[in-house]
Amino acid sequence: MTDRSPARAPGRLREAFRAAAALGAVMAAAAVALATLDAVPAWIVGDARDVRRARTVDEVERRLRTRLVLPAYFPARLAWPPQRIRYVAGPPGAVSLWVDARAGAPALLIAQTLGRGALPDRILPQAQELDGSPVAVGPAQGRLSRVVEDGEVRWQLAWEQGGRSLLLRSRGTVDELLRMARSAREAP
Amino acid sequence: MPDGKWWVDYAAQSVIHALVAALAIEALLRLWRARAPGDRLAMRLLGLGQPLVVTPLLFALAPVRRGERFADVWALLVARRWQDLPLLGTTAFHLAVALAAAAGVALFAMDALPLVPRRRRALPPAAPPPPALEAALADALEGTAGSLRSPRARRPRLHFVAARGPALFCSGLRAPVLVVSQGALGLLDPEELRAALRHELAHLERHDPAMSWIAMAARAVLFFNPVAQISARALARDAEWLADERAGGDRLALASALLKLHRAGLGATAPVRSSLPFAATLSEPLRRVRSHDVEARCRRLLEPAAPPGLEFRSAHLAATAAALAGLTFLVA
Repeated sequence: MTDRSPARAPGRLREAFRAAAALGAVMAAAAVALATLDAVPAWIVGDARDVRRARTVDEVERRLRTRLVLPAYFPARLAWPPQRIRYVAGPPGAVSLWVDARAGAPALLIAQTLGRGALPDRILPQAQELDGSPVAVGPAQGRLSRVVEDGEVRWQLAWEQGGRSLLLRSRGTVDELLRMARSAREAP
Repeated sequence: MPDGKWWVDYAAQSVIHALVAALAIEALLRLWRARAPGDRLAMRLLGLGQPLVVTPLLFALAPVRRGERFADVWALLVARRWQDLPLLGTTAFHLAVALAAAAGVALFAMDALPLVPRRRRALPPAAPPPPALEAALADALEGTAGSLRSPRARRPRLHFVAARGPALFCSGLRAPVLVVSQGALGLLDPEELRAALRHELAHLERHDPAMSWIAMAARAVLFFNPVAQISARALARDAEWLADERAGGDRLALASALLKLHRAGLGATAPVRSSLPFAATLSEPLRRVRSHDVEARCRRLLEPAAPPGLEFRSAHLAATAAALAGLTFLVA
């Protein structure tokens, strides 16, 4: 038998409210625990939460459903494929590839967005610009600059091509950098 | 997220979903002070339903959860992020999935290996039951006439085993059978025997033998999921508590019978279910868990009456199911 007397109504209402509050509290606690668990790998490796890793250029192209713009000219002193690949899904999405020299040290950074917009800082290593000047990259206007990264001066070239922002940062010569930039195109 | 084999993602999601559901349900059972075994059983069924039903549905019907945008914006947890952490020659993600799967298989094997068909028959041949047993069963049936209404529970076949080991359980998928051994009969006094038989009749009325096979089938499907294996065991314990409550009658006599049978079972080989040597090794930790379960059941039976059930139980269950489905949708 269920007691339906009015005297019990406030008690039942309070009980229902308490049950709903408990459910809300448990679900909120679970959500916080899950979000924390999600953030741990990024904290440990030092990347932002939305920065992903890929193993190959093919993989990142498949994940982002796009072709990357890559230099057709590639100096022989560099070792292809890239050793590290980071990307953000966006929009507009951006990719950075680290290429080592055959000797082993990191030698070239290739970064690009997948649409209009600036390259997000979280996929680029921090660098301070020392000076810069405009330079032609094919029909586009680019900016050639000297930057300091990890206490070392490097050449950096940034330009726009096909609606994308591209950046090359290298330990090599300016000529090498310009030649790579001018040969850059979407992989077939 | 990096590419990977779909079944690894599925296993990871299944385990995490089951874990989220199981922990949330345990917390809710405590916060709601839900002590009635029927309420606990229903809530735990929800927990088991998560990896069994909800996860496959989400995996099959919500491909949006595999997208990069979902992972960045909506997901609370993306298990594959742990793939970025190298650990012991592999990644933290793959290591965790492998360890979870190994634990799941071990837990499943503990209960499943003793069921592997052997040359011996599952039930030894029946002997004519002694009049004392038939009288006790008639008494138990008489006593449960009010509470156990199903004809199934009221007409079980008695299978008496002339063996010294203690055995008293119900069985039978289609035709209900009550198995009682000579050893059990010698251990229990008439009150205890009646209480134990009423407990088994309560199992039969709820079709628990068939339900236990369904639960075992669910465990076989989720053999890789340790949380589901533990949840299914908790379900079995709740089913025992429910049968204790539904049996009615003398609670102290039932507690006493339970203790006697359990103690005798620890010291002797059961006459009906002899396990493989390998299974016996795996079953040892399980035996300790069973001792703990018996202890908890006896403590409950020492309370003068069954705990009250939840008010608005259906609403509680519906809200929990919806909240869990919503939460696990965001765990990819």
